[in-house]
Amino acid sequence: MEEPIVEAHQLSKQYGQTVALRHCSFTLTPGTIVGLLGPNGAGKSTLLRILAGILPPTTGELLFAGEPFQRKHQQWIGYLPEERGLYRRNRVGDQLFYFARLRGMSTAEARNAIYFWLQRMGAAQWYHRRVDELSKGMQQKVQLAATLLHRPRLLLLDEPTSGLDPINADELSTLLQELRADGCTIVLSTHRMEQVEQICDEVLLIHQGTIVLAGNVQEIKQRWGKDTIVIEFHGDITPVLSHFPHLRLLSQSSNRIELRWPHPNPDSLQDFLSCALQHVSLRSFVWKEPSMQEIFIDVVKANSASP
Amino acid sequence: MSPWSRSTIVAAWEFRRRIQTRGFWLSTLLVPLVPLFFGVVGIILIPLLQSSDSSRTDIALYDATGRLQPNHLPEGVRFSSDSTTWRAWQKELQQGTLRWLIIVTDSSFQQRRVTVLGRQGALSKHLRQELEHFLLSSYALSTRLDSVTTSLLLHGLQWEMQWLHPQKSHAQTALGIAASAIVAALLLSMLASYGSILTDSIVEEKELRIAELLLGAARPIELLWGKVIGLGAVGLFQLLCWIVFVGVLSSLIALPTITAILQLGLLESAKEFQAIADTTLQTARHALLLILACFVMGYLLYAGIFASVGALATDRTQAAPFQAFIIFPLAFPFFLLHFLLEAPESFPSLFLTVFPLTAPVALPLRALAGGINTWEVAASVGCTLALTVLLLWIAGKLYRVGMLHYSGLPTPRQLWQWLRQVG
Repeated sequence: MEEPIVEAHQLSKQYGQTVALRHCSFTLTPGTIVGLLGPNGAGKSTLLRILAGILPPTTGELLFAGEPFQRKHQQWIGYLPEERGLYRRNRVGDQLFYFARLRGMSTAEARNAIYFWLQRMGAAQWYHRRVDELSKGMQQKVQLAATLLHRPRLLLLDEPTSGLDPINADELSTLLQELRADGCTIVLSTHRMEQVEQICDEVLLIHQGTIVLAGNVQEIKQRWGKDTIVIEFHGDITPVLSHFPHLRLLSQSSNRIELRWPHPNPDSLQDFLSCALQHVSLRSFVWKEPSMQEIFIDVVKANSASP
Repeated sequence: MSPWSRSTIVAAWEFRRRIQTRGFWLSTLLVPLVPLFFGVVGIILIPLLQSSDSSRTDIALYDATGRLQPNHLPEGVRFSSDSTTWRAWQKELQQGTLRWLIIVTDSSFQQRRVTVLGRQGALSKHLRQELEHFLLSSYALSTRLDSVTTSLLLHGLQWEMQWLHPQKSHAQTALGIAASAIVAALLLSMLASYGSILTDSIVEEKELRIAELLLGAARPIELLWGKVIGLGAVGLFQLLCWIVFVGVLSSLIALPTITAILQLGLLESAKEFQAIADTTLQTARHALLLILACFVMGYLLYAGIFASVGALATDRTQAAPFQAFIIFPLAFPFFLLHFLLEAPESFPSLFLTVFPLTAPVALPLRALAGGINTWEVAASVGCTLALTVLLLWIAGKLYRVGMLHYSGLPTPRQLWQWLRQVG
């Protein structure tokens, strides 16, 4: 098994009396995309800042390739914070050059990297333009380029798709998959669950500063079990639903319905199907895996309810 | 990559950013015109002020020959050939009730040289002409020579000025005061401007959320040092631009000014102008060195305070009142200008010179106006350096935590925690 690029042991962070992170332990493997999930204020940004070396943890240990975090490791990291900006009155090329030089790149390396990434983002023509002349989406691309200039081994992205239109968001997903293929480890904090399902290999779900769910996306979904039924039909299904009050209606249209089948359920599936066949003409019946969104909501609710 | 390399990169970035702005070049071009204007006006006014002789009762002529007749004496000028009166006048001159004491002896006519004892300034050309006319007619009467012969004998009469305080004439004192005021005002405005620019620059990075991007690439202290050094370098560069600019302009206007002054007869001779010019050059040289030294000293001292404000404030509106408050001590020496110039040994004067927050302005004020001791300079520099180190240390700590603090101004308790929190 490949050596983890990051090992976090019992990381905690406290701001005065406020605990932002509690005893978080996890590992990050090279060439994976990890979805960092959690409701607002869960501690995601704090965790990313600690991983980026901007904030020291209050307690716990962070190892990079088996070594305690040192100055040299900061050069492995590319960090795109959630609230991000650029110098408004300066030219794109100048700013990128500044960021590249700060990352320890030589003048020639910096120029080449800027040219490469602006080309890759389809933004080469913005090199001489001032930032305040660019749209928010364009600025977003420049910021991402600034994060990637030094080819980081660990890429930390906090809500990278906010402000991007669907086409650019899709392009970003493609780019992240390319970087993964190159061996880059990506930690992606996002609220877009379909993106998590689409590109993430693993997830870390944080709630109130604690990791409440972690692991491979497919394994989690399988572990969660198939508890959703999707039925396509002709006719009126309302009388059927009234006979089975334990089922939770997730979505409904004129000829399609999605139901949550609880475990355990006092009703049998056979009874439900018999009843349905009496009232409607069934076209299809499918057991579906839960979506990450559903898992997310379930886990957060369960952990909010527990004392 | 060494920490200093990163600081240098930040410094170079800040330097380039500032000098590429229109505002920088506008202020660089316009600011020198103001002191230059006042300088030219001053050069013209000083001799004019010296020549004012509306009241001549403070001018006396002592006739040691005993042969002169005071009939044609210019109006108001006191006259005596009595040695007792001569001694009384000497006392008056010391006390300041008499401004000029003109002494005419036998050798005055033989050597064509009249001695004038004075407290300050020079005799006006007009008064000199009247006195020459008087001496000429009196000498002609006493020697029974005709006026043509007398005027030939006395042609080219020299007025030898002797001041009670020869090391410092009125012009020199005025130049010193003017230079010290200009230098102090320039330093005050530069320290206030560059301090505010430093705060704004830090707040900008916080407000626009660039700080986190930067903190992911460099340590806070490297960013802070780079910023302080870069903006300080802009200040020094601007000073150098001004020095060159003023130098070029001065050389362009120097010759026409000398010619005009000599033609107007505002000064007796080119020699007298040369004396003033030498003093001006010497004062300018001292002023330049003082400006550079005091700017560096004051900027580094105040950088700690301005940087702390930038790190603590969330936006520019929050920082603005603090910026105005910070520069107040720098303006204080102007309120107590009287003590600094007239009573340099008084306690307020000493305090303002040694107290680090007022020293960057008070020190050049006193040094250029004259009357500062070496130990005072040493004490002032020492105290300022000590406080600078302390303030920059505090700024480093506050910057590290403050740059990621977005929820308004911290409480004093939080501040204390921040100072203790980070190593």
